[in-house]
This record gives sequence, C-alpha cells and structure tokens, in this order.
Amino acid sequence: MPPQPSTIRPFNSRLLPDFGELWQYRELVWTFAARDLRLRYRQTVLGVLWVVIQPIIAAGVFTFVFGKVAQLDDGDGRYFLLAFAGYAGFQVFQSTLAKAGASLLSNSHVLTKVYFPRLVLPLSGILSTLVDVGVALVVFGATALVKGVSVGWPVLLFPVWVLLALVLGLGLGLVVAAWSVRFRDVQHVLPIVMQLLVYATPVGYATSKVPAAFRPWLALNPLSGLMDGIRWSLLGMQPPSVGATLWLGIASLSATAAGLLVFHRFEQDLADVI
Amino acid sequence: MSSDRIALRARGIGKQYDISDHASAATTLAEAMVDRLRGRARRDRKLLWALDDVSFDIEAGSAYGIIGRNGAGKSTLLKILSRITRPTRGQVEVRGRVGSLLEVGTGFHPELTGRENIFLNGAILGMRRREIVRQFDAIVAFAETEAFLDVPVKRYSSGMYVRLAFAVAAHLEPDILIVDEVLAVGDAAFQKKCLGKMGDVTRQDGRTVLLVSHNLVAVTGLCTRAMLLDQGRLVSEGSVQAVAADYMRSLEQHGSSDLATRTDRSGTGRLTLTSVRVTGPMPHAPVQSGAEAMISIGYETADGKPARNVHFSCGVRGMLDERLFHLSTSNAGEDFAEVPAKGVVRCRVPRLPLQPGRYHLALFTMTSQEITDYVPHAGALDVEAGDFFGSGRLPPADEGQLLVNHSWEVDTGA
Repeated sequence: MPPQPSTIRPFNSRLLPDFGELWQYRELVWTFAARDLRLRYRQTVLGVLWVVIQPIIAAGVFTFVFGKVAQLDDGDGRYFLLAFAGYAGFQVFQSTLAKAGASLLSNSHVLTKVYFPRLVLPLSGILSTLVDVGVALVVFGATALVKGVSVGWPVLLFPVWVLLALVLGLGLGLVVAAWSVRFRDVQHVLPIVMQLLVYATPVGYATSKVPAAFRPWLALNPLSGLMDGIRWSLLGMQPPSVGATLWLGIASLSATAAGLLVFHRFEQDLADVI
Repeated sequence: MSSDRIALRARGIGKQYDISDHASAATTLAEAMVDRLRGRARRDRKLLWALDDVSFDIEAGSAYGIIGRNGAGKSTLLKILSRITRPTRGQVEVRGRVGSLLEVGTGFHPELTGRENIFLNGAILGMRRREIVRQFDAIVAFAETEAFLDVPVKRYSSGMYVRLAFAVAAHLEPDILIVDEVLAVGDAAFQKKCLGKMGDVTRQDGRTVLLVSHNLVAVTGLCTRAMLLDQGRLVSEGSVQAVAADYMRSLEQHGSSDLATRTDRSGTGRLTLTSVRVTGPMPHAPVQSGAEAMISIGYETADGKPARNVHFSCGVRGMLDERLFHLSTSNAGEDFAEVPAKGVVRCRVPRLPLQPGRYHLALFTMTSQEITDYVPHAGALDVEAGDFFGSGRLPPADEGQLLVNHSWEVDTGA
C-alpha cells in the first residue's frame, strides 16, 4: 500500500482536534496510563492500599466535622457512607481535572521532542481515576453490607454519574492544561479553587440539610446534582431533581466542548511556548 | 524524479520565533491582562526567522544529511518535519509515516524497569505494541542489557542507559526516520553499530533517513545527498561531499570573522587581535583529533609602528568554558622580541589532543607587562573525529575531552 501523502501547513482549519488520528494513537493513551499507574505507588510501603486509605480518611474527617461537630448526623449510622459516596464522586471530578490539567506541563520534556496527538496526555489520566473509583466502590459496598444498607435498581445508574463527573472534569482540565502552559499562575490558582469547591459542593453534607435560603445558590453548582445523583444510586436517598440533572448534563457537555476548542487552539503552538 | 519517489517535498517553509526577553513578553496572566487593557497586545517584540524560505525535495529511500552550525535552523527544520511545531510559512508534503528521534530515550522514566521503558519509549516514538513485542528480543540483544531487564533504569550505568535507548530507536520502522544529533552520545563502537543499522534501513528496506549531525564523518559515511543551512537559509544543496566542503569553507570564514570589531574585550588596545582561524596542516584541511592544527592569529598595532616584547597566548576551552589547555609564546619558548605593525602569528599544535566536538578560544596579548588585548570568546574550534592513537578508535565521548598518548604492557616480573 503506497503511503498516503499528508501536508504540514502553517494553519489548519480545524476547530477541534483530529479524532481519527487520536484513535490511531489509542495504544499510547493506554501506555501513558499504565506508566502513571505503575509509578504511583512504586517505592511505597503500603502500595495500592493508599487507594483505600485516602478516601476512608477523607470521609472520616467529613463525618466528624459535619456529622458530629456540626451535628448534621441523624444518627442512623449512615453518615459515614453519605460522606464517603460524596467524596468518591467529587474525587472523580477533581482528580480527572487535576490530572488532565497538569498533564502537559508534567510531560513538557516529551512534548518538545516527539509528536503525537496532544490529547493523548490528558486522556491517559482517566484510567487512574477509574481505578480509584472502582476501589472506592468496593470499599463502599463492603461497608454498606456491614451496615445493612440495601441498594435498589438506581445503583445501575452509578456509571452514568461517574461518566458525567469525568466529562465535566476532563473538559475543565483541558482548559487548565492549555492555559497553564502559557500562564503558570493557573497551577497556583487551581488548588485554591478546589479547596473552596469541596465546601461549596455538598460533599460532606446532604443537600437536604442546606438552609432553604442557600438552596438556589447551591443549585448553580452542577456538582450538587452529581452529589444527589450518586447518593440516590448508592444509598437510595432522595433522587436529584430533573433540573439539577439536566444542568449537570449541560455543564458537562459544554465544558467538554469548550475544553476541546481551547485545547486545540493552544496545542498547535505548544512546543514553542512550553 | 517522478513525484511518487519524493518522500518529503518542502516549499518555502519559514519559522518565526518571538525572542523578546522576559521583561517585555507577557508571561503571567496579570501582565497579559494589563497589556490587553492598555490595548497593546504586542509590545516591542524581537522576532527572529529561525528558518527562512527553505525548499527541498528528498527522494524516498535515500539517506539525507542536514549540516550547519549551531543556530543555523537544523533543529527547527526537524521539529517542523516531525510535526512538533508548525511552520509560520510554506508547506511540506509528506509521504509515509514519520518517526523522529530528536533525543535518545525520550520519555524514559528512571523508576521503570528496562522492560517497561522499552514499551513506553517505543510507544512514544510511534511503535505499535505488537511491533514492540515482535522486535523485543532484537532490541534487548542490540542493547546488550539482558541481565538488567527487570531492574529500574535509575540503577543503570549511563552507558547501559544510552545503549538501551538507542536500541529502541534503532528498531523504529517508519517510512521516514528523522534523526538529530543523537549520535553525539554513546561510545564510538556503539555509534558505529547504530550508523550501520541506519544504513541497512535505507539500503535494504528502502526507508528514508534524515540525519542532522556535526560529525561530518558520520554524515558523509551514511548520506548521499545533503543540505547546508546557515542562519535559517538553505545555502547549498547537492551531493554530500560538495555540501560538506561548502560547510568547511563557511566555518573558516566564520572562524576568521571580524574579531577586530568585537566589543567584548579588555586591554589598552595598543595592540589588538583582529582575526583568528584554526585549520588543519593545509589551509583548507579540516581540524581533526590527532592531526596537526594551525592557529593563525591576526593583529594590528594602534600607532602603526612595530611592537616590541610581544606575548601571545591562546586558551582552549570546552563548551562549558572549562579551561582545557593553554598555548603561549612564553611557555613554548620566548615572547616575540619585535613584530611588524600588522600581521599574523601562527601557533602550530603537532597532534591536536582533543576529542571531536566544539571548543572555544580565548586570546590574550601583552607587550612589556602591559595587557593590550584580551578576548575571552574570540572564536570557535570545531574538531572532527581523527585517528589520534593510530588505532582508529577514540575513547567514549563522556570520558573527557582531552586525548593523551599512552601505551600498555603486561608486567611479567614477579
């Protein structure tokens, strides 16, 4: 088969990355993902156990602060699970965003030496997030079993919530990745925003406990719908409103579209700027 | 040449870089916003054409060399051809899959084992997983690191590391292979093995190889055609021998460039250095390890009269400005009792004890205890591989820059 000619030009008319090309590089996505997974716990004593320990400690802290100190705990013994589910869901969003956002800068050395579709790097972070959420789900299941919490059919929709959180995180992560190459300030702003967001989102508390006056503000945060959705699927709590679900879907899709547009505009001159 | 025999067809490619210093370029969000508010998106920008209107055709299945001094635009050209950056102007038609090797071991991770790094590096360089699996044994055999396959590469010696990285790269099978100055690392024997492998790739498999190197021996040995870049422009194109000769001529011209007008100097100026050039034994011969080298230093007195008790010296320094050795009139004999008002003094080094590479010359002159001129970076000295020891071999490049004559024997006494 004679090789197909292709042309290198100063400008390309595409608005979005070339997904056909990305598909040809799918193995590289997997390779980078496998590298990051391998490296994550190498030379640690506890190794993969960290995947389990981190969410348990975080959920424990939320249970203590919101459940005990702020006395939001109804005493039905499920507060820990509520916090755990919230934290796991938030983590899917947050870790996808953080990994995608840092992916270009942390691989800058490779980016100036070899060409491959740049989207490969932010995408490769998703695998570790999925591993985390998988492990968290097992821990949750075991705890739920011990506490005697039964789950119904809404659990089947859990992957949908995970997908929405992923897509939202990835879309924003692409913007962060592109901007942080040009302006390193972004790296410093992001942790602050995330710290605020973890409290502005019902991660450690249930939406129902929020005073009615603040509810409209909370509804502006698409992650509120995510929290409700996950707790509905895993704990059989109040389902999220149609509006909140729609808002989450719209936010996720527009974040992805915006992320791809911004990312593609930046990726072409990446090697000159990074 | 019919068009389907052309692997790369470049027309008028140019690349412009913004080389404004950090003080004037917006590098933080705050600066960019201030710029935008004041309506000056562009401040005083310094723009540089790293490549300017370069056109060429490269035939499929050929080995093609790209030659030029540092900063000539070679790396920029390779980055455009390998799609790492895009041209500002012009376009390139590419027939076939391009694999680029701008560095040895791109993406190697110190914590990963040799085996893991083969797969990672191979994938980054564009190999499919099944290609790597198929070539795995060949890669390991080529690298000669079987015993260390499951050891993290951070425990490797630098030689092993480079061999493994080379081995992966040598087994890339793109239609067009682009190779930058990577042969500068690794020991001579291994370099030879890699060059041999690249030669096989073009001759037997009909692949196209583009090689950038300062090492003219490697380029002329492997390539049939070449181009010479100078300050972003293509100044010569044709058979590799002709282009290499053009390159040597341009080096000499540059080496004797207007030292007289330079301002980075100190001294009273009563006698100034006006030119310096280094050649082999003959005026156009290359400077080679182990061959005779002639350093010609031009000078001039300010008052147009002959000068008395004149001392000249030339310090030879490495790429990091490290002092390697010092050549001076007083150490080699006596300072000149008298020199004409204008002329050239020559220093002859019978067997140049330097590894191939680039060096700098620091020139100094003094008349009767008065420092008249000192230029710390007066000129560059490019040394090519040569037969210093008479054995045809040179030490590994990372074992230092100086060559010392020596011999070995077995002590048979008890």
